Amino acid sequence: MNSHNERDLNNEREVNQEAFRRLKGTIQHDYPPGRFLAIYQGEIAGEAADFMELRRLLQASGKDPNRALIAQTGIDYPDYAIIF
Amino acid sequence: MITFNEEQFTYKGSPPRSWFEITLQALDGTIEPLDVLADTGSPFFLIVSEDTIGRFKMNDGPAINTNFGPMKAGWLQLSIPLVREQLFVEGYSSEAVVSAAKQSSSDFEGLAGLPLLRLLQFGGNADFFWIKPPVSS
Repeated sequence: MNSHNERDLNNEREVNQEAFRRLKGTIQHDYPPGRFLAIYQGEIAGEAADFMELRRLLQASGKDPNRALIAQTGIDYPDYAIIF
Repeated sequence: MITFNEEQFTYKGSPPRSWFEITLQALDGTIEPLDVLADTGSPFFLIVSEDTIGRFKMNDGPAINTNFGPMKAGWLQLSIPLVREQLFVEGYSSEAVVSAAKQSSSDFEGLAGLPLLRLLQFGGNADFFWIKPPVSS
């Protein structure tokens, strides 16, 4: 992979991370718990009952499933946590 | 007495630690066993090195900051030999955490936290840490 593509992918990953932080409250409010949800190019791109089903849905809609950020609904994702 | 499908792991390291073996599987079929510390004080499924996350991650997960520094998240497919098959869990990468684990034994490649342990039954005695499949619902 050349440095240009790698830079684009890293930017895309950061876009997805920022989108998750921005949408976290909306996701917890609007989606039932226990689902897997994908953020792709900064937007919610789908949700499914299990991880592989979500990847298949992304693939079927023409998206590269490897490039999605995936989170679970109903899970607390704090900004900071302590490991003992 | 050994219970069917109970896996026992003699404490390892200096100081001795609870640990068990997991197997990671990448999308291309690559499989790798890892010895991981069992830590009920960690709120994360699994913490491994950046190299391991890079080789086995299927998708990004939400990143987080911790008392060990920032951690990137990646979804991992793992199994626990003879105990659990094909789990998809959110793993995290932290060189600081893995380095701390290796202070006890260089065999340790990561830290398994309470969320992963809660997918099993687990316990220990004076000699070994044990894991076995979860109670059937």
